Amino acid sequence: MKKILAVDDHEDILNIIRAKLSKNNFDIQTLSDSTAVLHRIEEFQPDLVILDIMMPKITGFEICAAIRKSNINPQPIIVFLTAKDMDFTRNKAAEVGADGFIPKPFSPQELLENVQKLLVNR
Amino acid sequence: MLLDSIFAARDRRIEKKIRREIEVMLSHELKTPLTSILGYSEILMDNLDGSDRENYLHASQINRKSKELVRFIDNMITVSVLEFNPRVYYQSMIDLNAPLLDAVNEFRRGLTPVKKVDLSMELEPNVHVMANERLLRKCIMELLLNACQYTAEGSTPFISISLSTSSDYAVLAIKDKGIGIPASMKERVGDRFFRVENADTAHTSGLGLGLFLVKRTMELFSGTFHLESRKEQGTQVSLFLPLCSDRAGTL
Repeated sequence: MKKILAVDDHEDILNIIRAKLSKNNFDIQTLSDSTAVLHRIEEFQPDLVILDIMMPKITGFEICAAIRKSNINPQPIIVFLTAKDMDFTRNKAAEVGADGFIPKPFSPQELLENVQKLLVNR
Repeated sequence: MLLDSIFAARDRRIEKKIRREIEVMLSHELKTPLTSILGYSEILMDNLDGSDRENYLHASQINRKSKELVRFIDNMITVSVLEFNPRVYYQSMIDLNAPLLDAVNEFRRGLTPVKKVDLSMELEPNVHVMANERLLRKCIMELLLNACQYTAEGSTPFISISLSTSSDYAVLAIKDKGIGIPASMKERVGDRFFRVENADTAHTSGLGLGLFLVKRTMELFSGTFHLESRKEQGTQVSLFLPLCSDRAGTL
């Protein structure tokens, strides 16, 4: 069973992601505290991390860059979620090492399909 | 006197800029609660699948209406950005077939409010233009949704799409056999917030931003937009975009 960690400061978004992915046979953990992501990744060792970009204290971009610079091995696939779907946001996401980008609002089905596509060769 | 009018013009510009910034900020803030409404309604539909038809229909209605709201908000943001900071739409050489096929796939995937659509396509390959792919996909999507929406209630929408080249231009035409636009209203089509409103369009909803967005996008890419329509016979919207000189090049 593939493991997924979802990080967002909005509980509703986490509930929706959890409901859709757990129903489709993923082992899913969620986190609303953006400062605890690295520690949780080391513990849970997810195959894929879903990261909101605009979060208080530390942004998704900063977390992604920190994961890519860390010794975490194997590195997880990282997908960004954001309400600001602009070209510069997409470019920045690629720069910091993200593998995917899902604009908000998203349909849970689209999220599931994106996750399945990204995990196909894992 | 002259100084007063200069200051007044400056104040109007600042006021307009602030209003647009508030529009964009509000629209972004609306996206998070909308994600929740859209997501929960879809989860509810998954859980009710077949077991409780009445509640399934209620949940799907919430889902459909929230998708309409998403479209309006996206259009508002895009229009504001196009007016005040179009540079954020990066341009590169693209094959017009790519955003066109993406939009058609997205359209077919279920954004259409009716179940059956008769859609045909005739596409010339390798039509390269300088543009922003995501913005063009959005414009094409708006045109497809309009073609579908402005079909007489109860009829199957008929949409034909053609992509061709003519001298220095790429020509993308989307034609429908819908209710058409009365001659008296054609001049105003493409104005911000203008919608054809009469008994034939009473069943439709919208803010009148779709064609305005298309028009602005064409201006941004040095293209033009042409509309032909006859009441009760249909409408054809054609987009003309300058072809890239290096048509064989790759990005």
